[in-house]
Amino acid sequence: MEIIFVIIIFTVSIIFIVQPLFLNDAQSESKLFNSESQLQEKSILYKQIKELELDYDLGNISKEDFKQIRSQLKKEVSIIIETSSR
Amino acid sequence: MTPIVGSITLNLAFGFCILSTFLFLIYQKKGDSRLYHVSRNMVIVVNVLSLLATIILIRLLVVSDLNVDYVAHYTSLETPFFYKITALWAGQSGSLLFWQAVLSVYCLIVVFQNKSRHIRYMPWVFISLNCVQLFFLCLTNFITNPFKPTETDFTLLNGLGLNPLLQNVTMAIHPPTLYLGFVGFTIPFAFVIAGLLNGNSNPLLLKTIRKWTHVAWFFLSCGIILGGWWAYQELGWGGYWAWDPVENASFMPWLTGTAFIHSIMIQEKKNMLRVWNVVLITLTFALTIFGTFLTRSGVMSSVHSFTASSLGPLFLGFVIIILVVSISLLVYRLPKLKTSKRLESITSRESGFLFNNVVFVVLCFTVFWGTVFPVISEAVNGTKITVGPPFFNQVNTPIGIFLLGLTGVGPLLAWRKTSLSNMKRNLLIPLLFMIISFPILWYLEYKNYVFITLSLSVFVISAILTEFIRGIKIRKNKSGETILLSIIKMISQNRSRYGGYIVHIGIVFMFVGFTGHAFDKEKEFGLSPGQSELLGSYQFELIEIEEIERPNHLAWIATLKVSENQGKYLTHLYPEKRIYFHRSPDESRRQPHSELDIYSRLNRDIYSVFNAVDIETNIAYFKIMINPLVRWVWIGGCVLAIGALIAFNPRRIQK
Amino acid sequence: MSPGRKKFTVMICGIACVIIFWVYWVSSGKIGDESGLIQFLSVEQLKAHPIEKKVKLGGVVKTGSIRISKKNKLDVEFLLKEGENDLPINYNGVRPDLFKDEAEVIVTGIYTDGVFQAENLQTKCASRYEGDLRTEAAYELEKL
Repeated sequence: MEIIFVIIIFTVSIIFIVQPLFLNDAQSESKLFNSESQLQEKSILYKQIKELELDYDLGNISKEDFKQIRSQLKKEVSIIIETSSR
Repeated sequence: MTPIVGSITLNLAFGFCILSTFLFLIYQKKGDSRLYHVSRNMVIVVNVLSLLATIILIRLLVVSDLNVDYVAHYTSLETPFFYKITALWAGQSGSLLFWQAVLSVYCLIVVFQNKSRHIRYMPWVFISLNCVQLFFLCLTNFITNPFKPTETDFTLLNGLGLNPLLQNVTMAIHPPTLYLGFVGFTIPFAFVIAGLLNGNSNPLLLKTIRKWTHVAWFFLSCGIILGGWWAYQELGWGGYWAWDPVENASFMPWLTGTAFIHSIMIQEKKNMLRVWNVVLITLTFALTIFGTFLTRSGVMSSVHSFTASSLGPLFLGFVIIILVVSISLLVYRLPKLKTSKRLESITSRESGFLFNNVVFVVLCFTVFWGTVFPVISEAVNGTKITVGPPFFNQVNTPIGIFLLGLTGVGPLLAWRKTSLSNMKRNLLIPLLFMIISFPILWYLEYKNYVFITLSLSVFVISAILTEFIRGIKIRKNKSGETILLSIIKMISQNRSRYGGYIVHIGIVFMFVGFTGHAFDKEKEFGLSPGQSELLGSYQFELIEIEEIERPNHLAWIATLKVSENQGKYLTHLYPEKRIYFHRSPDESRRQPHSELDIYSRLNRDIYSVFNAVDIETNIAYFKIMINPLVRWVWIGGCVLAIGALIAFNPRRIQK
Repeated sequence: MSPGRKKFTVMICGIACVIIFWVYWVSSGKIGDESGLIQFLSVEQLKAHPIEKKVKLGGVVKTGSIRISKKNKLDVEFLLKEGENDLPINYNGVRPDLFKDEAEVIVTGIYTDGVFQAENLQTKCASRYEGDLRTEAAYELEKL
């Protein structure tokens, strides 16, 4: 009884582990790299811009700083958009 | 399923864990993505196997399989079903397996969350996590295996049973919460190490690190507060924090973890303090392991009294390995971590955060010093010295008050540089409130620390509230929404900011609760039915003593009538004296236990303990305490938990 | 090093110095009514060199030595045993639930004229729960 359990556990694990080896390289490669990271990075930047605006409205940041950081963040967003559209 | 299966499952997990670590290393060299998928699946298998082993142990506990040593030690046939499950973390080997299980759950979440995120970092994250898991798998496999068979030459009819003190709902949820917190810090640590090994870190990685730190911090805070609550409700000494080594062990990582939560924000926003953050998270993680070392090694004489075991040196060794590896990595990557950005002004938000960090680390240091001082002293000049609560209270009170002040001032400072007009506008109202509070507090005859703490509390609360109100006003003017809607939207769109402020409010409430300790009163006396006794303005009259036999204990229940100011009826209290195993013929096995009763209101708690009963003379002995403001500690704890939940935002980022 | 950075470094060092001094000051017991640092002695040491200072002792309660006062259930006398030595202890206050013969206890108090007046009595958690299965099994067998 116990031996069956152990064998089942072992074989299931092994099958699960080696299964990606039968995918071809390109397939697994495409699984790895998609644009989700970039999208998330973009939304993080948007959020930072929003927070910056709130901080400015609350008077926690000076006008020059605000303008400078904002333009820099916008530049970063545009770089991401550019690379992802390519 | 039998213990053997559990044992083999653990062996398999250990083997796969080593294998996957090597495969990841090969992948880093070769770059074949199939290799990455294979090793990642292996990580999944390791974690599922660890969980399986835990489930098997739980099953063995539930069915009371006395052939397993652990089951026989921590449960008996009479133990209620619920406490049979909680016995999983009652003993050493079980709790180590439980630690591993919690880490496995976290790891699985990491695996599935990051299927296509952080691709460059994930191999290193998995390698770091594997190394930590390897340590715990090593312990559960080879040092203290929870599936070890019972070593007796006779058949066992019943187990030893679970300590009645632990048969309590709070005690059942306190350790797992604490574990979730302790173990949780492994994840941000692994990500930080991955960032270090990669040589750079992007905003996405920082966000992941911060979120995971929030998770760990939330659970650790809840665990600590629940521990205090349990001590207050169960142990009968009328306090909630004794600066015991075991408590300090959980408090130290909390301090550095809190510092890290603050300083990681600076790194996200300003890309500063990068070296410092690595140091902090390493320290936090090392302290969680060190804490386990303290509680498990027996070097500390603690009333929590875990038996001394051989695990001490192993844990200490692991702490040293963590520190050495992380520090050498840090030194190796130092040139890449340097930034050109500098602090520009002392009155900036950035420096506020920096001060906060320094204070937290200093607090951690004093607690650390007080905790290990006895050991150092004994090693150096052979005299054993114990460091008691007075030391910690005296040292930490002024530092804590300074921190409280920072809580108020910090959020009012502007980034980079606070202009004078800005300072005036932001500080005016809170300062005004504080000044108004002075004569009131003076009139109420508060002095010294209590006076400072309470007036600072007023300052901090009003500072946070004005910050809220200003935000709402701006939002309302911009969007024209109703007040309620703009409050909700403002909080939900800036969760970490406003959740953080709510946590601050919780902390202030807790400080208010701590001040009450200065006015504690207590008295011990004996009464026979009909007699009464005075404590302060309260009168306690013993109405009757009732004897009751319940399934697993014998209890005497006292009925105390409490009245205030000469005769104004307040409440009845029903403290109990119990004897567990009262039917046991062996007198030493009988265990007395005092079940206390508390009358709790916002301004004070009346805390009653039934100490002893003299059956011949019918006299009952009580200890009564008046603890002002204690309830604020628990209210603050709840507010803190709610704030932390708001700040920790599990919502997926929309595409 | 820019001047701004220098200023910060100096400030942080300053804070560190103040704190270290503060910790030292408190631990030397110069402020407050009681110092948090209490010496932990063995019974043998205390008997050999009696000092009239608050100290801590650890040991077990000698079997059969507990005498609870008749008129007042709170006062108790017992013998604290540590190795070969024992010492009479006087304590008036609430006894912990686990206080009994052979219980491991830690007492804090002052030693005067051959008697140790304890102001605090703590017991360690029940050792039974890390206990020996053999004695327990013997008990269970007896019951059946």
